[in-house]
Amino acid sequence: MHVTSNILNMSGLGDSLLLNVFGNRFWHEQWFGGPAASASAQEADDMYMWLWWFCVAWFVFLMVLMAYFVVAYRRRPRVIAQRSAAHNVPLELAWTIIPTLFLAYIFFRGFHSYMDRVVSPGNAVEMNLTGWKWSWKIEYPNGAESTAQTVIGARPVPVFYVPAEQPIKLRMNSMDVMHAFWVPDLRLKQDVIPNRYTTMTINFDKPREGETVHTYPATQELADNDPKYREFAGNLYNKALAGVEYTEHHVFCAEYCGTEHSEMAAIIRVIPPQYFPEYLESIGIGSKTPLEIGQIVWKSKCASCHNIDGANTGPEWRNLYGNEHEYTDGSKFVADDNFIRESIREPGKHIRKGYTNQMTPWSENLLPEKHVLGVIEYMKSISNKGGAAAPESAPAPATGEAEKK
Amino acid sequence: MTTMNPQKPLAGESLPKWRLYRPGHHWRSADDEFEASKFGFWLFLATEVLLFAGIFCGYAIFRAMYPEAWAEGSRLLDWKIGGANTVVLLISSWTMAMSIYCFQVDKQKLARQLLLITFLGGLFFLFAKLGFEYMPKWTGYFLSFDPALSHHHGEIDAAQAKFGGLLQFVEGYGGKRPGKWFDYPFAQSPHMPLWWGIYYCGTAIHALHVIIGMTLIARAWYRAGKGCYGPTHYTFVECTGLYWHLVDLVWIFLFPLLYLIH
Amino acid sequence: MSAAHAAAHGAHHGGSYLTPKGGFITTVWDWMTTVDHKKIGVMYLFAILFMFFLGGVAALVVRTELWTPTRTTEAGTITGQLLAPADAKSVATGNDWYNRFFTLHGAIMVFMVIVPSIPASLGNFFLPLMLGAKDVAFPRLNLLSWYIYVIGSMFAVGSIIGNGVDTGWTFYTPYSTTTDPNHWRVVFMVTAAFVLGFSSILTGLNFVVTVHKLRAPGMGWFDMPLFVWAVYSSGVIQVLATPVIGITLLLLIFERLFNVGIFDPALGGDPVLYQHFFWFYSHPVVYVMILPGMGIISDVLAVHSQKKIFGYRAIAYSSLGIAGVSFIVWGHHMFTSMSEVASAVFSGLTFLVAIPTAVKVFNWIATLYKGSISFTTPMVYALIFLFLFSIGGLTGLPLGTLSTDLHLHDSYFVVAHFHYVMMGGTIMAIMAGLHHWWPKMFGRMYNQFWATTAAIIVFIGFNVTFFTQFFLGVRGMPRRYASFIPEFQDYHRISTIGSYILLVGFLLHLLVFLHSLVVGRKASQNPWGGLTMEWEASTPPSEHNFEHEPLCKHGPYDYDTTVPPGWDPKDYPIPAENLRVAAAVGH
Repeated sequence: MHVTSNILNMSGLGDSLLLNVFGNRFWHEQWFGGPAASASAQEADDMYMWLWWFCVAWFVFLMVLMAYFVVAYRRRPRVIAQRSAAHNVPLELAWTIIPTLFLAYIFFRGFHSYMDRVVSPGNAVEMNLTGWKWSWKIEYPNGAESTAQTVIGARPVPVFYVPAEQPIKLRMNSMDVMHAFWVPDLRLKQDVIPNRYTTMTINFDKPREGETVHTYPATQELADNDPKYREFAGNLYNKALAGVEYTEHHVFCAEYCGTEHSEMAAIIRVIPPQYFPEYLESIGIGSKTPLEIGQIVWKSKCASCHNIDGANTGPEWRNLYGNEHEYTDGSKFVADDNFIRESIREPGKHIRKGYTNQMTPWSENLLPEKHVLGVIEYMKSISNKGGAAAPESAPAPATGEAEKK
Repeated sequence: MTTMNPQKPLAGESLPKWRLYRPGHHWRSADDEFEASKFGFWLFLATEVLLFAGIFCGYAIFRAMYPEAWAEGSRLLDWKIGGANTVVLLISSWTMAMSIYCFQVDKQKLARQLLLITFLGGLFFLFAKLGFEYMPKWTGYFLSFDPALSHHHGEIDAAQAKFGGLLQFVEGYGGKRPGKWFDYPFAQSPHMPLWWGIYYCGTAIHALHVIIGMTLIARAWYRAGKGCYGPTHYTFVECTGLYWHLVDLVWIFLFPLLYLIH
Repeated sequence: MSAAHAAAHGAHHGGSYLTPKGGFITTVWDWMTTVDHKKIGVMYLFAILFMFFLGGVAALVVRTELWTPTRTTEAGTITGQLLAPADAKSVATGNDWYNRFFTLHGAIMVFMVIVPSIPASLGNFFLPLMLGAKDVAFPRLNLLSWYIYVIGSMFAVGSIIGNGVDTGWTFYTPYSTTTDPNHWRVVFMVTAAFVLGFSSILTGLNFVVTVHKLRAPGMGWFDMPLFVWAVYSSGVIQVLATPVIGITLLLLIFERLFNVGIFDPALGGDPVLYQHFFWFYSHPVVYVMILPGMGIISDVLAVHSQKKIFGYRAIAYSSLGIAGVSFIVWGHHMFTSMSEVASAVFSGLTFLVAIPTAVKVFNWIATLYKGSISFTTPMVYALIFLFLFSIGGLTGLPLGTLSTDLHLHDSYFVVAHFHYVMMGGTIMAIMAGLHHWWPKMFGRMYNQFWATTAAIIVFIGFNVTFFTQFFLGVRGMPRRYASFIPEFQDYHRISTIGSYILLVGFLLHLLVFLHSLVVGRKASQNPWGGLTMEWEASTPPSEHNFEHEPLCKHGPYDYDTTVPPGWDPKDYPIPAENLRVAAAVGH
């Protein structure tokens, strides 16, 4: 099929729309809306385009035949149907065997390209990917977790920075229900299943022809007003990425998982491999204070349901710490250290009035004690009853909470 | 086989109901109707087999995944009770078949007695299942005449009489419940809850079939009392018999899989 | 004057099955307790059309919500959600309602409309007539199936009244076992599907026995109309596949009520096992949905081109072949959650199904060759079926191909594909069948011009709605999304417009049918010149179908031997000496 479009281009007629509609490139653009992001994805695209022309050919053949018969043998007065054979063994054998051969070819070609794409090469770097209701996170080889975020619309979604030209084997696991990790630009998807690991190999090329290349702001001032580059609180800007060119790819959850299934997106930003080690270094969690850890945990694990300014699927965090709240069974509790810890480990125990039990229980394996302490520290810092860590001028009660009461 | 078309009564003769039976208006003969009913019922039995196939399939998969839980679980079942139930079901299957034979040769009284024995066999099965197996495993309470009380000496020494001596409570014996409700304190394998899930699902769905079969037998017994079945018309009893044999057959597979192989 | 009344005038002794038995109460009681397969077929038809209406409303709500993407603004408010209060602070409320509506649409359309549609309504009415029988094998069982269907549907409606279910019609675990833990509505909906399964089993079993035991004298297996072959094949699938979904749903109910843990990963259970069980039923059942439709198309094409069907045996055997292969391809719904080896095996097996399906399409088109084709509404629908079903079948190829399925799985491409097969196939076939047999069922003709116009509107609306969804899927739009990125908005809008065109088309059909019932011209005994036995019964058929037991003297499509040369298809009926009810039987 490439040959066709090349011939068209060489003869100088490639720009004419009439000929374009017979061109592979034109239809690839119509179908996919953009180039594949890796060589193996390109293989899948070629397979798809081959099938597309195959289907078009068969469909046109059948419909032209049907239309011709319908017109040629339309009913005429006093003319009965002509005698014709009611079966024809050679013809019937032919139209059984020929499609069978085509189908065999399609199967083997599809299988071959599939194996190329699901078997990870020996030099792949392993990363852990976790999905839960309703977000994703990646744990990098050095133990650091993805913390960057950007917005789709105005909604925050996680950002995963990965190096180009480096096969990455994602070891995937779900914390609650089934999810599926779909990177449309890689033409790849894999279910993410609780209590079991599944793997998926991603291997981005350098920016390919037709891909949009973005540039990370070179200075903090440029980044400050741009919600696209919002990192976790207190670290709005990552110097390690200053001026780096990257390509952006959507990730969607493709297995239905409940209320915010359609919001369970992420962005993969592919950076040149030489910048990746420095980026990894910059997000390591080792030397951070509890408050910083709390901010990171909130951004990466909690922010999809808990806002710090207004209600979401879960209760708002601003002014939560140290205050008394009412729960669905009518009881009232002051949100102190122990209550918050219990609410993280066993969220089903007490459900805040006006909310439903949606939250995943975060066990020690999923959220180490150090992180829980960080969260408590962070909650103190945004509460009017947070003690020493409280902001100097206590913020006004948040609007969302006020409206609820 | 004997012809099954109805006979016309002679003048002054009073015929039993089965001799007056006429097939539905869309059938050419009573033979056709009988054959079609049997064919339809065999198809229905095929659906029943496929229903249980789901349970057996789950059993096989989890057995392959967690063999240690399956070995431990089946050791906690008492093959003597299961075996007794197997024998009872086999006997009741035989009495069921004999009952159909008796209808075929018009021995009405014996046929009804055999139906009654079959029914009592089903009742015994359910009683043993609930009283000797489900209740102690679930709650730790034994019926005081439970044979298990006398031969499980090691575990059951600490029995305390409750409810006027009718029930004996054994500390630490109960709690063998399915899934999340499992709290048997001496479990070795972490996957024991799953074993009990399969055990209760399989045996409960089977027990439900025993109850349905007993209902059919009770109806056959009642209608036989009115003279509805005889040599030329016994479709309902025949189908009830087929159903009862299926109930038996399923148990013949469940028993060794659950009780015997470790 | 009611249709029933008018029809009663036309029929000879005893009147038609529609003749009222007395006053209003008596007549209603007569219908509620009837064991007549024709009345049960009509009751099924109306019950199914009502559920089709409910499912259609849910579909329109879904499409309307997708007119605009949901957006969280910088100020923290939500825009673009029709199903949530205007001042919503989070997407949760709107999304939950969206999820309930698409679940309702799926569950109703699959379990309550498409699975029972053709066999239980048209099949019930015409299978005995086509076999020359007075009724199905087990008439009381038939009535029981209808009541079970109604009870099952009531469970579903019950869960709708209790605010609906958000599991998706597939009830995938562990989502379906954990969502909404304090309410009974999920259990209700699963129970509905479980109960409906019994209805399906009993109907299928009844038809299989009927075909085996109640064919008219002289009718061999290869003298049966292809519609009967198709209903027979789908009956076999119903009997053999439905119990598996029965046990699966039962275990799901146990899981929710007693926490048994078989599908619960937290206890070591296996959620993927649920998918295997589910698709072991739900893939064969796809062919329960489409096979009877294929049967209708075979009959309609032959009758309306007045020509012997091409390759009768090939079509009959391919029905059985599809039924057989359908049991070993379930894994192709799970290419993204199985091992590579299993995926490869299932992909290879999946392509096997394509062969008998392709053979059928070739046979249908070859049937048109040298025919005498009239553009009646049923024929127009049959041609629409060929067009849409070809697209549906061919788009199955990229889904069965492993490499491309990794991209297309669970995307809008799948949504478009199965709507082309299920709606473009089954629903178009039932429309063809309904227009083909409407005169026989109700004794009235309908306005062919407006019916054909409505058919063309439906055709256009369907393609506008669903062809765009192929593009959406390939471009990266996942299914079951309440919201989407702005790049997809144009396609979604086209699709939504299409769904309203569909609405207009179906409303027009409704008007045409009502018009026909009230003032329609009285139908003749054999308005299209069919040779199958149902056209030999009076119009509408009398209570016991035939005056005399019919005798099968020729094949169902023997136009070349029964129709004399120079005979005009408008000169119905066919000369008496060529008819099947021969003088020998005492006519």
